Amino acid sequence: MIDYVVQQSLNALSFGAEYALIALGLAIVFSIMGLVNFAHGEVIAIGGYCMMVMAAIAFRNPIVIIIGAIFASVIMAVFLERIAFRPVRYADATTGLLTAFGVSLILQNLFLLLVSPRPIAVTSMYFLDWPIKLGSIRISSLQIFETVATLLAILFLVLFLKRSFLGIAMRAASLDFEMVRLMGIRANRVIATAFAISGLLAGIAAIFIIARRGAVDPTLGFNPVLKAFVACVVGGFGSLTGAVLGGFLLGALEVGMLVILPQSYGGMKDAFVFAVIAIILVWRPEGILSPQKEKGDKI
Amino acid sequence: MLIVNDLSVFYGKIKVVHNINFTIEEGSCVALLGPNGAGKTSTISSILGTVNSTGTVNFCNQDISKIQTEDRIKLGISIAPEGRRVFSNLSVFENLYLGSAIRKDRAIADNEIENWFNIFPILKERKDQSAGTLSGGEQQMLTIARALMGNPKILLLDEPSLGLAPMITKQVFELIETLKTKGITILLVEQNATEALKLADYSYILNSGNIVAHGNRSEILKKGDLMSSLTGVEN
Ligand SMILES: Nc1ncnc2c1ncn2[C@@H]1O[C@H](COP(=O)(O)OP(=O)(O)OP(=O)(O)O)[C@@H](O)[C@H]1O
Ligand SMILES: [Mg+2]
Repeated sequence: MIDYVVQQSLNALSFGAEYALIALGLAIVFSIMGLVNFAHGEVIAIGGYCMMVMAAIAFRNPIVIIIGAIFASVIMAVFLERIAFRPVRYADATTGLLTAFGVSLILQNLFLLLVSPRPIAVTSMYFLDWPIKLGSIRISSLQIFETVATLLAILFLVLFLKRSFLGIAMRAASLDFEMVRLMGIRANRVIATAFAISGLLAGIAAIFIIARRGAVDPTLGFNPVLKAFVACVVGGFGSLTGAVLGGFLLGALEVGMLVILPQSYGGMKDAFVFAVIAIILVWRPEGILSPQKEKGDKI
Repeated sequence: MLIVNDLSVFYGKIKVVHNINFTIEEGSCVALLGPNGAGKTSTISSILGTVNSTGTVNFCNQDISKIQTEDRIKLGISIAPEGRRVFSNLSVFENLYLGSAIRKDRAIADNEIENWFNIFPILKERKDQSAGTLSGGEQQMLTIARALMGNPKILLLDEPSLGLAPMITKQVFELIETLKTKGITILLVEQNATEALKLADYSYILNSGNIVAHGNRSEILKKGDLMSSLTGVEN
């Protein structure tokens, strides 16, 4: 029984880790410019396609492929900011949201046209996945890698936000962007950094998604991003801690539902998960940890 | 040092500042006074480039009216804005640290943070506390200190005494006096006209987006009726 609980907790942790990783990528951009970047999924997909291309042109070294994929996602994220989001930066939130949806759809269709609508096998990350048995607990090495990588990414992000000048500026910008510009800090620099970090997180996510699925298709990132979006909403949109919390909570809920629900209801897992989330949102409409709204003036 | 020429400010189609002109000499303290909604903050914002405006702003012999906000700050314009706008989620130290963004001389800037801590021991005590937990007066001091961290050529102060108790207001004005003696050029926007007139070398009175009077203290005070109706100053 204990074994079973440990087993399922580890499962929940690794599910949650993936959501948290992607949710953080959404939250860091949202916290600074109020943009819900639905094209984040395509930034993940680019990482996947990059792995496909690298495998096809006979790169064998997995380290090179991993670095290449992360690099591709970072470049893609920064590139999208430059060409698509910068022009609508000061427009209202709806414009930003629609732009993000548009970019997402365009990219998905490009993948579909230029590559293939069907999944294409990418096996170069399979080496990350082997079964581990600890007594009666069975997990895969991938789960451990994913959880550890997520925790490391969070640690790196915290250090960056607390210790570096740009990191501090980004925290300030999440509260009062104009005031950050009034310190003489370039808005473009802060925003490009936010996108680069979100790209980095997307690239890491891409590696684990590919390692698990072994194939890339145009919607590779879209569904995980929808889940991550839900994680952000539950955690409190714009709060980085909230994104992580929401991600792990969602992972726990999904695994929990699979455990609790009788086999025949398995297909309705998501419905039950969303019902719980709806209840949480009734209790806390702004999410569990909604970010501070006030600007700190005490008049 | 700063010459504002034929400046108008617009919010959408609405014009709130009407073709005003004023000049600030290097090393002087100029006050911009007027009732609520006169357009004082709008004028400051147009100097910083954060609102739509027409006309020219000339700073240190350079027309800055077409350049980006960040670049204006880099030229040496610094702002302690209305409502303070400290970064309440950051520590006091981090607020000051961001204030030195345009500085290349990191080490000297860090020393200056220490200096500010000596001037305001309370900020030193609260150095790692989040700025949002400071009192209003402390936040105002932090805002001014943050603005000075960039070593500006000109300091724009938008209603530094707003919402402060008389005692604290006095401290703020004493601080401005000190800055003045250090030769820092200051544009002071104030509701507290009595105090501002005492501090300023020259003042402009703004009403409904027009400059209705300007001069030094005695010249302004001569226009008694106008003054008492607009700024509440009695002579
Ligand atoms: N963002 C804005 N959008 C539309 N109108 C604005 C905006 N900001 C200011 N105004 C209008 O412009 C006019 C001048 O405002 P401004 O803030 O410059 O006045 P002020 O002199 O600074 O007043 P106060 O002493 O109350 O701060 C006001 O009528 C105000 O309603
Ligand atoms: Mg004002």
